Amino acid sequence: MEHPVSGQRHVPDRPPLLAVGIMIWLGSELMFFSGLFAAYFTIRAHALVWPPSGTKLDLLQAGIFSIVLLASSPTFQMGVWAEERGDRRKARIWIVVSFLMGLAFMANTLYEWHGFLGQGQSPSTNAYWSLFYILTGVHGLHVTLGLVAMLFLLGRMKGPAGDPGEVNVLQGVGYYWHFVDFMWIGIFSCLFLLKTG
Amino acid sequence: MKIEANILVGLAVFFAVVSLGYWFWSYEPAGTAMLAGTVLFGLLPGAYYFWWAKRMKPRTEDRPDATLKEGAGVVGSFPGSSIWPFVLGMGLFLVVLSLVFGTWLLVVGGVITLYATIGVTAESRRGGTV
Amino acid sequence: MTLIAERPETIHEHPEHHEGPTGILKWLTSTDHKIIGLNYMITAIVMFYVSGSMAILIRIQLASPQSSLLSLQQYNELFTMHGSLMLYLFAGPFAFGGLANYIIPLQVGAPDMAFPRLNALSYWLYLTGCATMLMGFLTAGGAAAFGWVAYAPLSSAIHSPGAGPDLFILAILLTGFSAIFTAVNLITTIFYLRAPGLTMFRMPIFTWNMLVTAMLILIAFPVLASAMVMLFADRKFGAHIFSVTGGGVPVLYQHLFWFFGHPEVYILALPYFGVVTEILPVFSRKPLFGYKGMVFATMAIAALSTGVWGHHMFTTGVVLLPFFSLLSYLIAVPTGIKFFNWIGTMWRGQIKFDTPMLFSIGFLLGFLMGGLSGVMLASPPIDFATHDTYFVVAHFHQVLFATTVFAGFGALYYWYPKMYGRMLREGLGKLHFWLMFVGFWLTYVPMYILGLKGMPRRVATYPSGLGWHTLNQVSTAGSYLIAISFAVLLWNLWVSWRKPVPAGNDPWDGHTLEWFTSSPPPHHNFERLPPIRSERPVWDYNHPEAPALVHSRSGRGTDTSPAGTNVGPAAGKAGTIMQASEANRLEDASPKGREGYDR
Repeated sequence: MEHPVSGQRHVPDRPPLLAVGIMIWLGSELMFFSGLFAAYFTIRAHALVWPPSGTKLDLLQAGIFSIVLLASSPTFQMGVWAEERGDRRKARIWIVVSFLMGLAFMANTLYEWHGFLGQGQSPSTNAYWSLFYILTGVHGLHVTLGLVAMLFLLGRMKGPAGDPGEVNVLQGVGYYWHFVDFMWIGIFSCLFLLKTG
Repeated sequence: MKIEANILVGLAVFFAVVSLGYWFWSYEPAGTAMLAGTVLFGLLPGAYYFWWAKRMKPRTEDRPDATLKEGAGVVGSFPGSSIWPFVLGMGLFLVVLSLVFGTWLLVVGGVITLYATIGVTAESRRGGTV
Repeated sequence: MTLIAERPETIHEHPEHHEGPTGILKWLTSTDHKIIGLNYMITAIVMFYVSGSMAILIRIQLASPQSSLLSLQQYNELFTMHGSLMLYLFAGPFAFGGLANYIIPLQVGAPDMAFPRLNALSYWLYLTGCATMLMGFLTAGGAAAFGWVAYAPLSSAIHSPGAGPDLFILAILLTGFSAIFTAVNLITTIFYLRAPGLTMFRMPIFTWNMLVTAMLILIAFPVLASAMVMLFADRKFGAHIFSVTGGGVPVLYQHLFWFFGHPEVYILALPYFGVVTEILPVFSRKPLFGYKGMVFATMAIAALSTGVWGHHMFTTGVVLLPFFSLLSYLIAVPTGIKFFNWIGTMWRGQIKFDTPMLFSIGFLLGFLMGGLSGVMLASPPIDFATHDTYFVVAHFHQVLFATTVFAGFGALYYWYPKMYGRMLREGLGKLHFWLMFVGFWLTYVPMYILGLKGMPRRVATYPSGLGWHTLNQVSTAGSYLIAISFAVLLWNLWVSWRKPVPAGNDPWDGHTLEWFTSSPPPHHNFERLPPIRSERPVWDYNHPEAPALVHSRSGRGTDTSPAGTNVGPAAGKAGTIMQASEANRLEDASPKGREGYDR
């Protein structure tokens, strides 16, 4: 399972062990989020006006930082491809770039929370805000875990080459990061875009 | 890998039918959302395994005629023993308990968890495991 | 330290030298799936005894009308914790954390689980989950008292204040993540670390069932985790997900819970179906009847079980009765196929009534009764009449007792020789079985009648003069018998430990790979492997004179008859008989396996 050192990519005779595990685990993460979405759609179906009247959101700000988060997926993938080619320096740069983009998103989430709480829109305001904090909170926890994983990855990639598990871990974190970004599309659409009444 | 992939993709197809049937029969959102999640649960790993099944040769465990000789060799690297799972588990335990017993536990648990995670990563790096 | 595990090539000795820590440190640091599996099993059995003691207290309380042994609050705490311990902390972890952890890598010929350290972490999360759950008894408000289902709004901060319910939720989160990690580990091990020639359709049925169970875990437990997260947010942060004020929907909790809860029933049952499917052929000295039918029945049960959560909610009036009733009835079909195959396996076999076999037969009878009453409950009219009565209590106790206890402890008797290299006493084992078997029927059959007479579940006491007294007394007497039988088990374990009877590698003349290695197996499991040409390679190896049944499944596809090995022609036809000895010899002699294989 050693990674190719030369520039060309070749097909190994079996998938990486870690990726096989990560994929099935991400499947279970999908089920976790589908439980939250089940709550969202049920509560929304019971509401006459959605989001409830008086809900103040900043669509533009949230939208900009969503784009930042989504853009961090391709940058991370550039890092994975660089590592697969054996270019560890470039891989590290791409990971740092993705990390900063994810960090910006998280900072904005916390800033938004601060603002909303200041306006009196807390989890106990109504079911919409309960869902808002649970969904963004759970997703933010995933983003944070991804950021921590990136930090550890950078630590692991420091120093001389020769760690055979490195590329597999990098791929695994990549799959996870794509998944987290993909989930944000759903959550963002539900919380900011879907409107009735 | 083909059978493995087919099981998961088959699961996705089955639940696609069930969730469509359920939605158009009941218009009940909670169940439909979770059934749709189950479709994705099968589809995501299923598609990945299918992709691999397409591009690699069948492994020795996929072929009924494979001999033990063919499969001999390095299987993977497995840690012999490690203290870090225990430390990590205790750290997470304290983090979880902090939700009931107060935030000070979160600090202790967080430090232990971080320490254990560093330990696991360093160990992985030395041993080449994941 | 890290070992590079190599798969043994042929039959030559190269014992693996592994100097690990010993004593308590070994227990804390081991990443060996066998030690983790034993840790799981021991913890789960301790939980079983604790929870069983609670059941006895409940039965003493119910033995007479207007009993005042327990206060109402104590009674509620006890039945909640009895159910939670049995379902979350015993039945599931015993199967997928204990048995599967120990047996699956052996059955697929793997050196360890795919992610050994994750496996160890799962155990520690499980253990801390157990501690968290039991910690509730030490808090001021007592343990959770809202039933193992924790229905909202009963479980809200208003109706169930205190730290006990919070600890219940966190315990479920901890053990839930432990289950998810174990499931990921199991699936990866089964998909990735099988021995050469061990194709999917040659895997032992126990492995198949654990694979399907692991998938069900990954479907069900995350949904439960999401429900628990939201419930916790409701309790701690005043969220309104499950409360009507603020726009929440209480019945949503039931949807989420039972979307987990019904697959959970099969997460608890399927591993034990697998155990029975391992035991019956070995003790009937026959190959399994209808291997593929068994596999597809398992998958069908699992798939259907995910679509029937609503039948727990018939009486809420907000679910689609025909849809859920139809799917619930349909589950009876694959389950019937399984029964048919089990009986077909025993039919005309040379049955040996050793203890594991007795437990399996006990399972068949108990599960038949419990399963049939389940079919009755799938019909909405009957369910409306018997919902929340002792009829339902009897139904699910029979199902779960038959699977987790009969088959579960049958598995203990079956695999204990492999785990410790010594036999359990047959006589004491049979005494355990008969006491438990009689106790089982005495305890639960009266409950059916009580249910039909209208006794509701979850009541701490009842007035006299309703005709419930005698039946409750019979039921309590039965539960004493079960308790005595488990004292016999402890005695058996003690005697067998003090005066060991060596078991050897293969005491039962088994079929599957775990019986090929030593008892207990060495650190990375196998020093050698037999050729794998059917789903019972060890039997083929040990009985070269016996005709090896080559199933059609190994003949499908194009790559069955390469030039290098000569098993192709025989393997190519459905139901062809070939001499296993010949296959073995050819296998060992084949010098150039890969050359004949060209793609």
